[in-house]
Amino acid sequence: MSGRDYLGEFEHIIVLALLRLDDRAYGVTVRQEIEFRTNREVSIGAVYATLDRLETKGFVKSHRGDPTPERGGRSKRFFRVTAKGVAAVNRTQRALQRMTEGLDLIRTYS
Amino acid sequence: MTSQADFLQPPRPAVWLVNLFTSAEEAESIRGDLLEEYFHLMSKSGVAFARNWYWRQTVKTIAHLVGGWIPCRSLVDHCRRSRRIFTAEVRLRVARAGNICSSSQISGFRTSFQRLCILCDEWDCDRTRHRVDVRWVYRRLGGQEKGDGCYDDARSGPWRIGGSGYVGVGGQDWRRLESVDAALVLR
Repeated sequence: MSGRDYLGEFEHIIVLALLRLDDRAYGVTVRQEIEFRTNREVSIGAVYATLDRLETKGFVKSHRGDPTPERGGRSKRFFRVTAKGVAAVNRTQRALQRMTEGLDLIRTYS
Repeated sequence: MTSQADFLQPPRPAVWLVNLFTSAEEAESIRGDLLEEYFHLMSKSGVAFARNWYWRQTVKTIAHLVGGWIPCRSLVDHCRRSRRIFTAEVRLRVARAGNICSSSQISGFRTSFQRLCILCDEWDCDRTRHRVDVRWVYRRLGGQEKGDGCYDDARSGPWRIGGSGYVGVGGQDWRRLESVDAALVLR
């Protein structure tokens, strides 16, 4: 198994946001979901840079929606997680769980 | 003087910067997303808040885009490209000021750059104005994305941009170009 099979921290967050949003996942909703759940301000550029990287790796797929007037006639780019992406999330989650297993993080490091 | 309508739009320099650093593919999504959230924030929290937010997003977005872009090319190449972008922008403003959008007026872009994204203001039947990527219109009307002779890079044929200020594909759907703007696509 290569290192590329695991997701980076922000990649992990983005894929989880996509899974939560399901078929409503596009730039605005992904950004807002991350801000709402992690309480950190995220730029749309960071979201797209990561989504493009995930698409290159085959973890997500995108398609264009219809253009809307409130977007100045521009279309939305919707994203969805592929089976390969879901497998990568599971692998990353398991790796994190194994790494934290047995650690009493709150008592030891707070 | 800035009119009320202008003030309600996102800050022009910020929009210009986003255009400058995004490819056509990215621009469609990024600018659309920024605009959608901008208008939402404006109605919720006011114009000043929305404009500040747009500026913050612009700076952070550019930092990300440039961060991924510069290491791919040498610094000299980067400087050369920046100079060409600036020159193109100036030439475009000249063409725009004269309300000219014939292909001959902007042929310099066609020969100088890999790709050119042309944006125009289009008036809908209900008199609402939309910013439209001409190439997107081509795609929507059945034109192919690249190398079909409609638009795009220096290697393909001439752009089908009417000298009279109309744009369309094969006479299927001619649209009035109210003004022309452009953003370079750096690849």
